[in-house]
Amino acid sequence: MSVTELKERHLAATETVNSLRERLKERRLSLLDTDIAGYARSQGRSPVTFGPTDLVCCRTLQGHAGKVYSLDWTSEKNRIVSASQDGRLIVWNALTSQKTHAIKLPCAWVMTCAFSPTGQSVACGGLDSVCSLFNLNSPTDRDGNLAVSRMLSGHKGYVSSCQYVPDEDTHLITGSGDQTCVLWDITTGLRTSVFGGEFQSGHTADVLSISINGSNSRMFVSGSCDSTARLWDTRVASRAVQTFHGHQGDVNTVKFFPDGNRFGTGSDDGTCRLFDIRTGHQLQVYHRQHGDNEAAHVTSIAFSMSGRLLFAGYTNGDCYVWDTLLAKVVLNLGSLQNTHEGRISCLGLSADGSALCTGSWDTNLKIWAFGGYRRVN
Amino acid sequence: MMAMEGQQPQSSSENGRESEDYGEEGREKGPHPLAQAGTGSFPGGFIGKHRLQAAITNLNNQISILQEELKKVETIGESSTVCKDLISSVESTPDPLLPFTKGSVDAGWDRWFGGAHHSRNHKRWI
Repeated sequence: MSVTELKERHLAATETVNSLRERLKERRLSLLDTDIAGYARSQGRSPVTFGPTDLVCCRTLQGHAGKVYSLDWTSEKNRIVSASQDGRLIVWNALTSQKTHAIKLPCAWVMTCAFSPTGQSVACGGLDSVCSLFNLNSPTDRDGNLAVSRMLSGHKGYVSSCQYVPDEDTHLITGSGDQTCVLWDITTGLRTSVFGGEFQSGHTADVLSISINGSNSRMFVSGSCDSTARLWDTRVASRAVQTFHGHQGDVNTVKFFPDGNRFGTGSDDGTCRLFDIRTGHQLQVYHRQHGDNEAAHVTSIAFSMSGRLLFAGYTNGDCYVWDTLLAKVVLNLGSLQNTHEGRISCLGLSADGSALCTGSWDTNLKIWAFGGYRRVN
Repeated sequence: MMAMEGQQPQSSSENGRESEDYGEEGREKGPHPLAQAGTGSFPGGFIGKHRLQAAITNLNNQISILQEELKKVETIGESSTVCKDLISSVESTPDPLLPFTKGSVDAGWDRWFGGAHHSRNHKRWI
């Protein structure tokens, strides 16, 4: 077949793709009879109200000498690992504010970190395109440094995100600037599956964030610079289960909703969105007008235990607490006493949901908890 | 997402960190169809045959995926059904960070206040 004929076929296929996308968009729009906020209002729900001292900063974890980029809690409630531009991972006992480990990294340009489900190991990744694992129980060297226990090599771009598969210390998933996500077998150090890549139905730009479904660990979602989020099944690497459109900027952060049936996203377009994985519906856009100013980018999100609260960190230092059901900002942690003095770069909820940890470019982490009177229904 | 200070994270991809460009009517102004499919040009300006074939295969895959999705969309309900399900899920789950909660309060929720905090009398030592 000649190049001319191939070009014609290519053009025809492109037109078909575009018209199918348009039809799909129209069909989806016709099914959006309401968003969550509209429905909740129609059911007589009112926004959550917080007193001035209900959510308080009860700990400040000081110790990093550079911007904090990432954090993760252990599943046993009280420990946190944080990654900073100072080239260190610090493991904290969040309850006592004590550091239990300070790990000097072989590559200082770290972007992400994660705790293993048992809390025995931590993983990190960054501009070296490698995911490095550290066994916290292994002995330190003369200088008190912990050696890398395993290096997962194979990405062709920076490692932007990593997460262990829940209830397994043997597998983790990474997202990368090479447009792919990878499921790794930690015991062998080999790639089990690659999600996306050239000429696959994957992301068409850097993957920035991933989140594994807590209710079904075979499913995970990824957010990318291509302005989409994609849902993947680890058993079917060749193509995404579904692609979620709507954002008009890089999708910096994705997080599964507690029930596992939906997920949230945060983007450079200044909005957070909530998507349903079974229907593909975009259920809500969380956006606050800032007058004529360009909206601050969303850097990180987290849901409270029930999903009623959506915590969103922004590049301007705000940390909005959204009422998920009413799409209203009910509190701004960034305006409270003892808050951060820089951009909120990462957020995470403790395993039992009793505390939120925020990490910032001001080099600190802060623990927020409910300190008011709790009404029991 | 913001690049790290002092060093730009470089993607191996050509389109790297570009945001989509939107036209006046909110429609996406896509690049040239050939560029869109990731086809590269040879120095003479000719597009490689094998690259074109790969791009066509990719587009055909996309077509079948979109057709499948269209079929699936015909069977799904309206968003109000999902909203109803979401509200009942949210309201039936205890939440330590809310000023109200379902069921009993776990004593461990207040561990951040070192035992000196009692929600009953609002005293706290931080």
